[in-house]
Amino acid sequence: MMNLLPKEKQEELFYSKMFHSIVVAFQIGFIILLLGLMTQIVLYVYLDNESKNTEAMVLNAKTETGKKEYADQRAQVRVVNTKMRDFQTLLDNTPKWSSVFNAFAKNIPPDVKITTFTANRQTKKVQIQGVSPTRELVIQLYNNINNDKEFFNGIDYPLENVTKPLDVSFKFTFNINEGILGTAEVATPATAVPSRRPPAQPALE
Amino acid sequence: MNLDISSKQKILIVCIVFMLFSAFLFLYGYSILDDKNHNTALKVAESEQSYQDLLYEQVGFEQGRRDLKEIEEAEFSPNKLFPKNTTLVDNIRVLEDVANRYNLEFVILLSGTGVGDLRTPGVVSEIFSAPYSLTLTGQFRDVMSFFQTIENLQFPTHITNVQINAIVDGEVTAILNSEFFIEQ
Repeated sequence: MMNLLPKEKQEELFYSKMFHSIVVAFQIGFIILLLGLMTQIVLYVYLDNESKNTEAMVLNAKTETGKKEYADQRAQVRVVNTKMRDFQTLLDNTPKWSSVFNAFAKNIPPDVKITTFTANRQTKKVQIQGVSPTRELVIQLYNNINNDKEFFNGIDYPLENVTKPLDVSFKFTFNINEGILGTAEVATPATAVPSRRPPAQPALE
Repeated sequence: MNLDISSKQKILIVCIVFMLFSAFLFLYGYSILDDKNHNTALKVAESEQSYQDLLYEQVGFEQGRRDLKEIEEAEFSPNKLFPKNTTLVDNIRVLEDVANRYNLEFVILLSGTGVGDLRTPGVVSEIFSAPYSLTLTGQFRDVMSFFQTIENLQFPTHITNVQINAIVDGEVTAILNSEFFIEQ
């Protein structure tokens, strides 16, 4: 079919149609863009509302957990835990004197008699007195204790122990090794020691 | 005013308007709202986490209440771990029983009220030392058995000083300085 309109009119007609199509396309584009915007606004309103709700819930829960009974129970749990730890500490630190006696007994030569055994946990010092039928057995006792490095150290050598060859009265002083009797701390008057309460803890242990 | 605008120009104007509008939406509308929504979503997530933590604490509180009640009723309740000065006699009875078991003569010396005198070092709670002196007379092996037994009692007692004197025929006298641990 032939178009008899002048070329300018034909062009104008073409662009006019194109303009209308573009307007329709842009209208659809506007609607889509506005729908996107609306979606974001709705999401914003929803999240804002949700935020307020959860904050209110947190506030309520904080009020509940901040009550005095919670604090009291936390303190009670702390006291119980501390007491149990202290009990275990004291039990673990119980001096094992029987192991010292067993070790010492193994070092006594036959026929040697110990008449006095004195020991102090804090100084770790042991003093023994006894009688021996011969001087050699006294020296043997000295050597045995001196060689027992697992339990004892620092044994002295009083010369009066070896002056008599027979029926010897002897005495020795030596030390018990560190760690055998646990840690010996001396109790102090309560008034001289500042109160050592456990530090405050934020949650139940 | 008569504006004679060609369709070509109209297309150009409409395109520019649409692009400006789109650019405005993307630069300001969408991005600002997107940032706000992102931040609010993070805030909600944090609040949810805090809420869950608080709920756990509430559950822990109930569990703690039950546990405390349970251990209070237990045989070895933490509240009975350390004797008070009024119940220390139970510990003395235990020592007496051990001495009797090994046929040892038993004399214990303990003075004062036992409370508030000596603070026990190395512990956090307010535990006090109640020093006592013990004299045992009997066979040496029985004295050793006594030592072994009291090292493994259900309550701690720390012997600080030992003196053993031989008497005759394997019989000895042991003088022990020791301490009980008590609470107020």
